[in-house]
Amino acid sequence: MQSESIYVLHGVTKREKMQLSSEPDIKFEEEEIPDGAIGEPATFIIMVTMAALSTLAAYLLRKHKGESFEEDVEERLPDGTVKIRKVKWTKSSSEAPEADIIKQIQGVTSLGK
Amino acid sequence: MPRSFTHPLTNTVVLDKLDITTHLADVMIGGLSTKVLPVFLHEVTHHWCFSSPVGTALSIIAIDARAKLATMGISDELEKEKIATDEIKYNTTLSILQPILEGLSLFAEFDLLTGDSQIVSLPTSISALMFLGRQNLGDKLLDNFKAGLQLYRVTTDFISRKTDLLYDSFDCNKSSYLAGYLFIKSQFNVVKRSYDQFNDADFFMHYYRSYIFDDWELVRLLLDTETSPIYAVEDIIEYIANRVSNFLQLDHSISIQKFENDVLTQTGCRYKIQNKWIICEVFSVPIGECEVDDKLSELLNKRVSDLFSFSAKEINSMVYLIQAIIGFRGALHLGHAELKAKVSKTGWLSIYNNDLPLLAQQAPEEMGLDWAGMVEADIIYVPQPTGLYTIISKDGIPITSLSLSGKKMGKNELSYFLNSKKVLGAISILNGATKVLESDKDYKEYCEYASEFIKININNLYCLNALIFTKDELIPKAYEKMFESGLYGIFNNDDLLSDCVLASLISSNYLNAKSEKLKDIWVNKNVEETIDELNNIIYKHLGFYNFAFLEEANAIHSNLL
Repeated sequence: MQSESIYVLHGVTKREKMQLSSEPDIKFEEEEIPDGAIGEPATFIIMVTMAALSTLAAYLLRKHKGESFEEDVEERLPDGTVKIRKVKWTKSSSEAPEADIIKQIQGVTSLGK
Repeated sequence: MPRSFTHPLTNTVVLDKLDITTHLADVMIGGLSTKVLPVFLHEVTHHWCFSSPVGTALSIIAIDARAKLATMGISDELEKEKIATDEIKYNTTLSILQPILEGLSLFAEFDLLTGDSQIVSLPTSISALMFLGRQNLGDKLLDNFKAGLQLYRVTTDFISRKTDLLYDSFDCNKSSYLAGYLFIKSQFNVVKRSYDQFNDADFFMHYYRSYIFDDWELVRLLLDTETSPIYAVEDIIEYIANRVSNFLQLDHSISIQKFENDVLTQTGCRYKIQNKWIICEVFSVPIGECEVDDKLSELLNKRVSDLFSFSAKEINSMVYLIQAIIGFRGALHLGHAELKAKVSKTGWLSIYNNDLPLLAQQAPEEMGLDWAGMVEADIIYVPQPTGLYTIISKDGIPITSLSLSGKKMGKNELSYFLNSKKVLGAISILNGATKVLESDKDYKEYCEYASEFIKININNLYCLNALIFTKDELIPKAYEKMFESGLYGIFNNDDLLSDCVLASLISSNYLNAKSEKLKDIWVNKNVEETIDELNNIIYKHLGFYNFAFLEEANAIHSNLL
């Protein structure tokens, strides 16, 4: 059993995977479709631990070229529970972008709850 | 499910990016978001290819083999050989056709546009309806859809999807996407020089799909029971390789006219499957010498009958699955959701999402009055007679259908319908059944032989044809670079690759490269200089100049990409 939460982002393309492959502490897995099915070009999921959340946040900002965005990030808890967090970042936000995104991924509200 | 797919075994489509729970009404009124357009075009094209005689034959042989394995296992050597032959044929055919399947779907995403032809492909007609239907455009629907497509194709979603594609490996043994796409583009670009009709990309795709999937000779090979696994592999690969390679050698002048007329008047080949379990028609417009003679007709009916008699004895639910897959094959599943439903005291059925009513109509009697609970909703598009229906099931059994026009699906048609959850469950059982075979020593040897045979032939068939304008002496180096990371291997630069994508989208969508809209995308770039830079790199590695800038129209011509 894993000892800490794992944060997961879906829908990463092969190009993005190549660009991220030199980053430490990131694991990739191909998104599966049923055996024998054919479909969209392969995409991957990124999996990081808390230690690499800044890499994930930087990637999200780079992916959206610094523009406002909304993305779903999963938190897979050690007990198997999965929580889906909607990360919503607006360009006009007064907080430091990476810190703001990391807080949202971890489910920390602006009131610190 | 994070990736959309189509399953060839049942022709079931799952569009993960379409959330029916929140978008049921948008789907029903034809107001889908353009965000879903690329993946919609992709999967609808797969579904359309499998709604064909070849797609039907593939389902018949695989379901026959897997249903036997699921219920009886391997009874004797003779039976094992027959099952192994069908399994190997199914897998070999799909493997060797996969670059065409992906190539056509990607062509639909990036290049499909209607032109002068009087006929329109199913991916275009259904997409126009699903994305612009709500605007009530009447006979302007297709023109508006075309204009919309031309603009959407230079938006971030499409540019980014196409850029991702060009990073894909060109090696068919690793991935079918890029090689398949460039192969289809090469066929299109060559054949349109000889026949004006093929300048209509929609017509080309329609014709090519029929050339491959309405091919009754391939159906004959698939259904044949008098062959062994090894011969089946060789026969199928050789047949498909010849058919694919011959496309550019054939004289299409007569068949183009015949094809257009047959589609227009719906007078192609109407073949009827009829036994005590099912009566249905397989419509096709074969190209070339393909036809259904008495011998093939007998074989097809026998194999379908065998399927039903076997299944009826063994697992009753399989009968419904087979009826749905064969008799209702053209029905396109668009989404599934569990929703709240209420039947009022006056017998009015309403479907809700978050307490907002989405659809309502008179409830069937069996639902009773004054009832509330959860139901399953599946949205399907039925091509003939055209209609979009929401099928309501309770406990997995379809009970009624709703449509905006007020039309209801007949009881008979409704009984053919199986909700997607059940079909995916059946696929999983049938796929699981092959495990018995996978541990068999002989079967393993057949599979290894098939996989080696495919490996040897597949790149020669698709990659060589895709690089049709490349000088022979440059091919090995081009393969070396492109097998690893596609066209990125040639450009080795993200910005140049994006420019290449944009130039190719401008070209295939007949856009003005210097329009105001595109100026924002070509930020600070001189179009002519960019084209020169791209051409120099392509020439260095592939030996031809791909793009030409046509000054008068500010258009870009592309030879391949």
